[in-house]
Amino acid sequence: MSAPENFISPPKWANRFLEWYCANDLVDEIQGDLLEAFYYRKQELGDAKAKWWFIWDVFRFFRPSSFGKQSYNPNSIAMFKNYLKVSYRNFIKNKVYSSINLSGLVVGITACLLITLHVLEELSYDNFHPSADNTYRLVMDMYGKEELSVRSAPVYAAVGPNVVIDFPEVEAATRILPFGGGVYSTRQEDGTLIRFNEDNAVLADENFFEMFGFKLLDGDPANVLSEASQIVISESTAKRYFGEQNPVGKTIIWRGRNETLVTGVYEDFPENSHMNFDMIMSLKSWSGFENWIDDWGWYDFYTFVRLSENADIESFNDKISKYYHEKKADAYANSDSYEVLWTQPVKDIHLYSKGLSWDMGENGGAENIYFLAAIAGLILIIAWVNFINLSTARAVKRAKEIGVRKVVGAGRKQLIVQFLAEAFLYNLMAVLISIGIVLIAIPMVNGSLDIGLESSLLLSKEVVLGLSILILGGALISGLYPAFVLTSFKAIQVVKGNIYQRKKKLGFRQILVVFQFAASVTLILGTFLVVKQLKYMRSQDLGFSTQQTLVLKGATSSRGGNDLVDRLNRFKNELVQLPSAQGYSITNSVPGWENFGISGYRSIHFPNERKNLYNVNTDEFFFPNFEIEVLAGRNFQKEMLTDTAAVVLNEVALRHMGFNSPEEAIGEKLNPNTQNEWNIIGVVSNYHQAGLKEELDPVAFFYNPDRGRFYTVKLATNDYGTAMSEIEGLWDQIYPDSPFEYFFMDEFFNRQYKSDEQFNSVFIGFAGLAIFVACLGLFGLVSFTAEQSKKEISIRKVLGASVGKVVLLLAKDYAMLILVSLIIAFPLGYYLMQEWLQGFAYQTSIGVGIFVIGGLLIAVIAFITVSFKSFNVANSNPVNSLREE
Amino acid sequence: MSQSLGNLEETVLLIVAVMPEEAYGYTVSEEYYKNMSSRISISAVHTVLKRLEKKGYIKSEMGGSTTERGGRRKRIFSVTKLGLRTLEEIQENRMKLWNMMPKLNFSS
Repeated sequence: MSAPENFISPPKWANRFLEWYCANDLVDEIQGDLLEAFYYRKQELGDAKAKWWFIWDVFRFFRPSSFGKQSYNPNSIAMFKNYLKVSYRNFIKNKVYSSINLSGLVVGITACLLITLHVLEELSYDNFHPSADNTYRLVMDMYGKEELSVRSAPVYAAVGPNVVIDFPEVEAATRILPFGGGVYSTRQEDGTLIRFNEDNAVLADENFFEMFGFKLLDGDPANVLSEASQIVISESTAKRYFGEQNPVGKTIIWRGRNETLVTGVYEDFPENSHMNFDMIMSLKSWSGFENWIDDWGWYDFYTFVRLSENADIESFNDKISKYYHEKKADAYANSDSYEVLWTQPVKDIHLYSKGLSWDMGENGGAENIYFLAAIAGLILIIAWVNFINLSTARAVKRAKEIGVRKVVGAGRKQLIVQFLAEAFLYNLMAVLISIGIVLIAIPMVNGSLDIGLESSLLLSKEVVLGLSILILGGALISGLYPAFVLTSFKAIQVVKGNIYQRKKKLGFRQILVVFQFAASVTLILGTFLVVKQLKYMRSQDLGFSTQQTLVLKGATSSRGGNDLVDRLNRFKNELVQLPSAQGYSITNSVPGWENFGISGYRSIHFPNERKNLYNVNTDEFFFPNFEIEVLAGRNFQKEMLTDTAAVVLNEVALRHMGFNSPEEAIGEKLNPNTQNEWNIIGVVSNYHQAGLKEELDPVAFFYNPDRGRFYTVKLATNDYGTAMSEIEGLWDQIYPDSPFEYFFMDEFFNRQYKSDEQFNSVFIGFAGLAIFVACLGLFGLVSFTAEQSKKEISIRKVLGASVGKVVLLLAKDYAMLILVSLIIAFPLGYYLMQEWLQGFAYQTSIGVGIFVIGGLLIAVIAFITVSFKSFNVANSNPVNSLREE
Repeated sequence: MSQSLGNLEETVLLIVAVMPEEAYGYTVSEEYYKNMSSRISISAVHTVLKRLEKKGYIKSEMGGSTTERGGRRKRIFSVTKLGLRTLEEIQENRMKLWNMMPKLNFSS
């Protein structure tokens, strides 16, 4: 067609669509009319509206009458109707098999959907920041003389401000210092004191709210944190302190003495953020802030940078890895240790931070995500396999229908279309039911697993697209093979009624059953291992005693001067008077607590290299209370005034510093011949600071009985109620300005295994589903076999076979299949289990037991499934099936 | 009447009758809008025209093309004798009924 110059054409795609569906002899009038209408409407209503009208009209014309005679065949529509009807009738006629088929699919798709939601949630972490793709966290690897010693999430104080100056591509840098914890209080108008211990309180640079996508409800993002002693609090925190009042402009007191002004309130951080803070104080509030630009020694600062749009991350990575060697050249000159900076995309932090020390939040679950996704896929495949299996098995029943259709003139193409349509219907129905189940199940799953699945994600682009693919793909995968098998029967044979042979050597169906059970066995093995590993971690000797140990969070609210020390002494003196308290220990670290205190020390064996040790400040009661053994030397003693310059090492620290035996180290020094010299007075046995997922840490203990983050109390009684009220009474008497907060040591330590336990229950749940689906399939298959061999069985019975023999006959076929699947599953399972165990520092042995029990279990389950139906058939009266001939 | 004629069909038939040589999908739809003060989509017009043609009230032939139509030809419709007679019949019947209407006096 020729068009004048000024011809603004209607949307091309719509026009092309019209030309595609429109019959040739109609295209003149239809397209002509629409184009003409478009031409006039354009002048009358404007381009945009005319275009919309055009699109609308194109769709209005999309109907059979426009398609022309060739493609519009009323008969094929009638046939589709017939397919629907026949599908429905078949469904109703074989209720049991149809519902087995359908429920298998439903279970598979439901599991898949739930896991998909979880995976999407995990993948969505930190994608809401304004330029999430250009935001990176700077982290560093710290190297000792010979090897990587630790990977640290926080970096030096100086890094943030310096990279902005030194690299043009860095638009902004934000530092977060995680030391805002302690008691916060505010006085209400009527004089009552509101006080809370805050753990999730940090200090941050002033551009925090410009760097990240957290929403400020009140306050100006540019200056809420720009001055010292400013604080921004979350909505829920504001409620705790101020109720319904407007918190902006009010004062909150930190640790009893530091007044901070509330300058803003932010919406609570979303679930999918790796950070979660209740309070953010301006970084300038910390004394010494001005000097940090040159501080290349203190590394407790999480540092985020935003790069410019067109920055080349490769070259930035290159430059940043050499950055320390320029900046810290002097420090590196006479030392064997060094660090290397690297970048981590902010979106990757949640899933890929495994192995980073001192990280914020629970990060590094990528492996678990992959595991779950694999399981979801597996369950779905098992369900499809069921469908294929049952549909082909049912071929016998459908064969007559197919035969008749063929005789009446159906081509193979039509028959394939029919079965694909049927598979499509099943998949569609299964998906719809699954969505319903998921909607109902989400609150329950969230509640029992303590995770936050969002049902709104069901409507997201990915899920809708995925489900459409699932339905179509599922229809093809599960429908194609049955369609081909069913349609390949010769009409004449079918009508004669002889297509079934029980003794087929190795058919496709058998292979599928083997696959299903191999997958199930692997999952069972995995379940056993996960349970075993968890049990192992819990039963392992931790190197310390958690029994009857209560931990109070130390008071941080001071009235100035020596107040905190004085009050602590009073508290200690009165605590031991209480009948329920056996002893106490003041310490700044307890097992299970992530220790941020780490410093480098030299020894005679490493004169030029600082080796990192965790610092624990404590008193003389720590070792006896936690039942940690002194291997050599002695514990701290109050009477020894020189113990303020003494250090006790644990065994790992001992090796770390280069000593060969505990005895050798006694009398030696840390940092020998410097001002900062420490006498090694004792060596104690190791204990697990972190859970058994982690290696043992090297620890140096220092004597400081006067202050501590934690006051641990060894209880003398099992009557926790009385003990708690006694201790709380004492606390309120001495520390009216600090809240009484406590935890029990054993619970606190085991909380580290929470994510493993979650994984455990998820794994068990889905493994159970997979096995259930596989058994459904097996049950369906056996039922058909049994039904088909009814006559054979009846004749055998008439000739004198016992019920047991008949059951065995039927079960025998499947026993072989199960055996084969075990042979496949065992090595596969072994390999996967080893992979999984790599994530733990302390691993249980896989052991033969798991395989034996797993194999037996699956054999028993399979046998029960098989015999359930076979007994039924074997027990029936042979006359019933024989007289019908 | 051999075949029933719907309300919309009747209107479209009338429009075709009053626009000799000019009646095709788009113009009919526009004319309908002008006279009946409501819109009817082009696809609906096509359907009605096709139905009328099938019933024998109108006939069609391919006409010329214009640039506004992107070079596509028009299918021009014109009324058949049967169509015209049917219209007249309807009008007559209607007039008969109108004449039987009691003369109401609205002025009092």
